[in-house]
Amino acid sequence: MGSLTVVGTGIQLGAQLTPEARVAITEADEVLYVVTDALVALWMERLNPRARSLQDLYAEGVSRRRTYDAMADEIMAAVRRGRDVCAAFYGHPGVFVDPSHVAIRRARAEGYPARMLPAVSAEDCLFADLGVNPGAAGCQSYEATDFLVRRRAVDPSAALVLWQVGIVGRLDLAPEGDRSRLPVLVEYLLEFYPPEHEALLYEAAPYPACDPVIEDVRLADVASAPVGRLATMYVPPSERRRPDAAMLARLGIPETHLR
Amino acid sequence: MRGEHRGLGEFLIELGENPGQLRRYRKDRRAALADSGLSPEHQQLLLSGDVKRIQAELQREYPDAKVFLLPGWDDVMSA
Repeated sequence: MGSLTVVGTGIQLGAQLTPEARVAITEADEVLYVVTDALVALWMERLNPRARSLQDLYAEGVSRRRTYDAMADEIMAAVRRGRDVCAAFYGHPGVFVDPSHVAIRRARAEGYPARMLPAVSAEDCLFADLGVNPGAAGCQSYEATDFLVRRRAVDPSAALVLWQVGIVGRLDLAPEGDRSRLPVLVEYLLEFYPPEHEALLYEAAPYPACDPVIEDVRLADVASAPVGRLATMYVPPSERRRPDAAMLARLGIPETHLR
Repeated sequence: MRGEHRGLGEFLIELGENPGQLRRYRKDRRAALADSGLSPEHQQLLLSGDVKRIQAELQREYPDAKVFLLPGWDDVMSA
């Protein structure tokens, strides 16, 4: 009987692959992978010579939704052939990745054992590289275009992470990035934060020999900052939320316990 | 840049695969690179830390490789 294990390669080549994910890749009958870097692709095929890319399913003019369905179809076809299949995705396989979830759901619905293994996501790298604790004041995390079009409410007392600010407003791949809509993003953020508030533009290092790119800029200056295609923006809290006295009393928490 | 020197991609893969070597690299990049077998040009490239240039060089090293897709807004909308 076939099975499916979905793994993530982590962000940084090699060093962030978990031991469990490595075994899932090396011991699979078939490995189907989607990665963003040619060197990672080469490395995958060395880990398991039965690995092949699903990249060819991307085609110009084909909606990404259809492409993801085709990826899930391809993964499931291998599972139905009775193979132990490993599907490998860049970063964390369940974060900003859709076909991984679709394939898991389909496999389980058809009675095949299917499991997703956690992995190192870009957000994990961000917390480590910026030295910030999302638990300290809470953390809001949005894809930048989604953040704007839904006019997401911002709590300035919690941290804010915005993904894909380097292509905000673009629905296609924009391989060179597109900063033309950044002024719209800045304008919206200034409804919640003062213009001099700090923003960190962050790009994780894709290779172990490299350092992350971190730019510290005023929020008002983000539109003219060097925002890379893969950049994520981190906005620290700009204010502190006071505990609610009535809620503290209800919970039986003395106010002295809170800093 | 090539010839008797090892490839940039080979070195990066080995660095990712070998935590001890990676630790040594992070502790003293110049010393690790001096022992790496990389060409002087590739050593300088890695010391520059310029990811875009490194990726461009890798693309030259592996011209047939297909690369670099980025999820877009509709990926998130459907999640």
